[in-house]
Amino acid sequence: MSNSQNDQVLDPNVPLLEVRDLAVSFSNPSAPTSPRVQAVAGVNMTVYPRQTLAVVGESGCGKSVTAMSTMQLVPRPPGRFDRGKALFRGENVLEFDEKRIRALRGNDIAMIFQEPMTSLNPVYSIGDQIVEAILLHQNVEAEEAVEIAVKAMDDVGIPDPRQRLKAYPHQFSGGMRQRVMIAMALACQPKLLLADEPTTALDVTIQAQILELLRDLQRTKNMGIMLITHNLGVVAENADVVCVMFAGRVVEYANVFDLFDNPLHPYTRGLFQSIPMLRDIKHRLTTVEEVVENPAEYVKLNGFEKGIVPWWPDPPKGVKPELADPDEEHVLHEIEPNRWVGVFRSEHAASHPSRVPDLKYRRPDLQVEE
Amino acid sequence: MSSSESTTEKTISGIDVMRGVGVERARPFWADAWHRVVIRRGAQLGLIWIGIIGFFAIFAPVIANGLPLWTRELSADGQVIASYSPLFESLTPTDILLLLGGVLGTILFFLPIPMGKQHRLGLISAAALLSGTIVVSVATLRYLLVGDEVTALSQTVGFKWFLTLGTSLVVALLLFWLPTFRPIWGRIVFTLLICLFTGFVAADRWTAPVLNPERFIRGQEDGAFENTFTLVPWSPTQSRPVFYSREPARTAADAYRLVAENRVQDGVAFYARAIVFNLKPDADSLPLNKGTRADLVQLLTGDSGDVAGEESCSVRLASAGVSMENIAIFEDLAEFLSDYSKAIVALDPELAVTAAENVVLVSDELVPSGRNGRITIADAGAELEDKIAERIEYVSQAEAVASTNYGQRDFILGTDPIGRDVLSQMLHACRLSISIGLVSTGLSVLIGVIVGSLMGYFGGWVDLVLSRIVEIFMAVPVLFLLIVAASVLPRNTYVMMVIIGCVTWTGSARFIRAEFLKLRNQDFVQSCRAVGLPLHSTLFRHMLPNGVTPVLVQASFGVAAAIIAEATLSYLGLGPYGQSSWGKLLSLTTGETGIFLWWMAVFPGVAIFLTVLAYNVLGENFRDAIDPKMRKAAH
Repeated sequence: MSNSQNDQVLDPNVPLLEVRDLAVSFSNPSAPTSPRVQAVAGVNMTVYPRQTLAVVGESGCGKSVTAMSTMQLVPRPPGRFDRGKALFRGENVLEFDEKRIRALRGNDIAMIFQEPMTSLNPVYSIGDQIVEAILLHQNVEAEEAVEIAVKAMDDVGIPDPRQRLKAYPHQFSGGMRQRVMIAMALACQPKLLLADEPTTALDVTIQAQILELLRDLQRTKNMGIMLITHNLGVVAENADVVCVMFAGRVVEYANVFDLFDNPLHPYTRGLFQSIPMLRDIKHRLTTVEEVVENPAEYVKLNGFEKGIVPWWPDPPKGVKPELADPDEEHVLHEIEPNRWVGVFRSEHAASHPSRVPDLKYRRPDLQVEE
Repeated sequence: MSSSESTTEKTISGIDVMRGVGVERARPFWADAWHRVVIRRGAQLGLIWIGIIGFFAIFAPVIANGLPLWTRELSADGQVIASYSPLFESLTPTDILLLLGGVLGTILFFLPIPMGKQHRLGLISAAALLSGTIVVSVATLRYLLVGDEVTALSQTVGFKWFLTLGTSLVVALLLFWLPTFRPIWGRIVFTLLICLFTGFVAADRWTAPVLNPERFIRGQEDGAFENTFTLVPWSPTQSRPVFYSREPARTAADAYRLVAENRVQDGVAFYARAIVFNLKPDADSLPLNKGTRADLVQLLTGDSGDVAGEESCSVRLASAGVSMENIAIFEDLAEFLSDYSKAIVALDPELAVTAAENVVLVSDELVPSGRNGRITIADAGAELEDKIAERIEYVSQAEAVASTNYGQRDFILGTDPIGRDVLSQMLHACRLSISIGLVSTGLSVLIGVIVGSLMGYFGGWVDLVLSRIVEIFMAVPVLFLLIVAASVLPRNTYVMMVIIGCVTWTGSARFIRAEFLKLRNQDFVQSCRAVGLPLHSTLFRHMLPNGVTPVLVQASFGVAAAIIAEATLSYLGLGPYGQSSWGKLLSLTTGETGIFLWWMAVFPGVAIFLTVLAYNVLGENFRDAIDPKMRKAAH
C-alpha cells in the first residue's frame, strides 16, 4: 500500500503538483439541452514541496473544482475533464483508474474541507474515523494505527489525545473539529494537502492557530499545500505563491510579495483596493467593478502597445486588442520574470508563448538550500 | 446527594473539560439511539410484550409440550428399566439451537466479563445468523434433493453427514468475514465452531422421532411409566375426541364428565321427545301444539329453565289448557326421569333400573297417538333400560379419569373444535409470529437498503432504472401474491417470508434513496471520498448509519404488517402447514361446527392485536426519539 521508499526522497526542487491547461465543465442534469458550464477553462499552476500555493478568487471561479480535480473528486457526470493534465509527481492523476486514485486519495493527497461542523461523521468516534483512514493506507496493525492517530492528534495540538480519540464529533468545538480534520488529513503523512478554506468557519484566533499549525507541519514534513481562500490577509501571512483566479482562468500568478507590492491585473488591484485599511478614512471603499471597468487600468502592463492587455470577460470599450483566434481569448503571459498575468490572446501574445507558471519561491522561514 | 442539596449546583468550565475534568465518555451512536428509545414508556411496554413473545418463541417447546420432560419406564415389579426425556428426543434441530442460543446468549450477554456489550451482541447475532443460514440451507437442500419422502438415500448415514457438515463448511467459508473478532484466526475459529456444532446438531436430529404423547399418558395410567410433565402439558397437535370445543379453565376430567352428562341427558331428552311427539292430542285435557310440546319436553328433561319472574312450565301448561291430571302424570314422569339420571351419575344400576321401570309404568297412563306412537314410546322406554350399563360406563370412565393426574390437567384457554389445547398452540405460534415479522422485514430492509443506497448515491440513470423497478414492485399486492403463491409453491413459512420480503422492500428503498440524496452532498461524505475510502465503506459504513433511522421506523411498522399478512393468510386457511398460528386459531372460531367459540376469537385476537400494537408503538416511539425536530441540536 504505502510507497515508503518514495516518502524519504521528496526533492524540494521537483514539482509536487503540476496543473497544466486543466479544463473542467459541468452539464445541468435538470436541463440537458442547456450548454455546459465551463467551471475551469485552462488553468495552470505548480506546487512544490514545502510550499504554500494560495488560490484566491471569488466564489465560483473554479478554485475548489481545480483542487478537487487533482483527486478526481469532481462528480462525473455531471462534471467532465475537457482537456489538460494534473500531474502529481509526474503522473497524470486525471487518468488514474478508480483503484489507483483511491490509493492516492488520503495517502498522497489529502484534503481539508471548509466546514468542520459537517465534515466529520457524527456516527463514529474521532478515533474510528482517523484509524480507518490509517488502516486503509498504511500497512499497520490496529494498535499501531491508534498510536499514529494519537500522534496526529497531538501534532495538531489537541490536549489529552488518547482520551479524545473515543469522543464523538459533537463533543468538540468548531476549532477542535477543524484540528481533528487536519489530524485526519495528516495522519497518513500526505505529500500534498489541499486546504479548501480551512479557516473560513473559524474565529480569528483559532484561524491563526490552525494556519500556524499548517505552517509548522509544512516545515517538519516537507508537505506542499494548496490553500484555497477568500481571505487576502491569510494569503499575505501564509502563502508563498499566489494564484488569482477569475471565471475559471488564472488572471495573475506571482510570489506573494511581488503580488502584494505590485499587482498587475486590474482584477487583483480591484481586490486589494476593496480591502478596508485601518488608517485610511474613507467614505466608501472602491469596488472591484470600479477598477475593472476603468479603461485606464488596462494600459499599465509592459508591452501594452504590442497588444498585451489584461484579460477580462467584458472589458471597457476600446481596450480589447485584436485576437489571434476569436475562440480563444485568454492566455497566461509571463510579463516579467516570475510574474504571470492573464492577458488577451493577441497576435503578439500568441506568437510569444511564455513558460507555464512555475515558482519555487518560499518564504524565508521555509527556504530550502538549492 | 443530601449534603450537596444545600450548596449550589457544582459546575465546571469549558477549561476544566479541556483538562479532562468531569468528562464523561459519550455513548456510541447506536447505544445513544437505543437509550433515547427505551426511556419512553410506550417503547418500554412494546419491548416488554415483544420480549414475552420472543421468550415463548424460544422456549415454547419445553413449556408447552404433551411429551414428558422426563420419564421412567417401570417393569411390572416396579423396577426402573429406563429413564429418559421423550421431550428432548423429539426436539428438532431448530428447537435445540434456539434453546441453546437463548440460554447461552442471555448468559453471555449478562456475564460480568470485560467485553463490550455491543461486541457480545454482535457475537450473538453472528452466531444466530450462521446457525440460521445452515439450518435453512440444509432444510432447503434436503427438500430439493430427496423431497419429503423417506427414501433410501435420505436414510443413508453418509448422505446426512455429507449434507449437513458440507453445508456448514460452505456457510462457514462464505460468512467467515463476519466481524466477530478482530484477528483473522479468531474469526475463523468462532465461525468454524458455530458452524460445525450446528451441522452436528442438524445431522444428529436428521429425523426427530415422532413420539405420541398419548402413549406416555396411557403408560402412566397402566403404571408402566412415571412421567414429569411440563408447565402446559399439551402438544399443539395433541387431542382426544372428548376435548372438542371445551371452554377455558376446565380440566380434562371436566371434559369427560361433561361428555358423560351429555350422554345421559341426551338419553332422557330422547325419551321425553318420544313421549311428547307420540301422544294423542286431546283438546280438553291435553292440547298439543308447538308451545305445549316444547313446555312438556322442558318439564320432562328437568331443563325447566325457570327464570325469576317467569311462570314455571306447569303453570304455563295449566294456562294452556292441560288438565291437572295430565300435569300430575308428567310431573311424576319428570321426577322418575330425574331419578334415572341421578342414579346413573351415582353409578347405581339398580336404582336406575327401578327409575326406568317407573317411567314406563307412569307413561302407560298416557294415550299414544296410534299404533306407531305406542311402539315408539315402548321402544324409547326399552332404550332407557337397555342403555343403563353403557351410560354408567361413561360416567365411571369420567370418574376414573378425574382421579388421575391427567384428569387434573387444565385447558387454561380452552380447546379448539378438534380438541387441541389453545394455550399450547398460542405459545407455539409465537415463533411463527416473531420469525415471520423479523425475517421478512429483515429481508425487505436488506434489499431496500442496497437498492436505495445505489439509487441515492449515484443518481442519474441508475436512479432512473431502479426507480422504475421500485415502482413495478410497488404495484404488486402482497396479499394476493401470497394467495397465488399458496396454490403453486410449497406452503411453508420460508416461502411466505421470502415473498413478503421480496415485495415490500420498496418503502425502505425509497426512504434510503431520499436520505442518501441528502447525504451525498454532505461534507463528511466528500471527506470519505477524499480520504480514499472504497465505495462500500462510504455507502454502508458512513452514509448508512446516518440515513437508516427512518428505515428502522418503517421496518417496525413493516414487522406489524407482516404479522397481519400471515394472520390473514392463515385465517383464510392458506397459512403454512403443520404449524400453529394465531390466524389459524382465529379461523377455527366458528370452525367446522359453525358454533361460535368465544375463547377462540378472544385469545388469539388479543395476541395478534397486542403484538401488532407493540411493534407500532415501538415504531412511533423510535420515530419520536430520532426526530430531529424533537431532538435538541447535538451538533
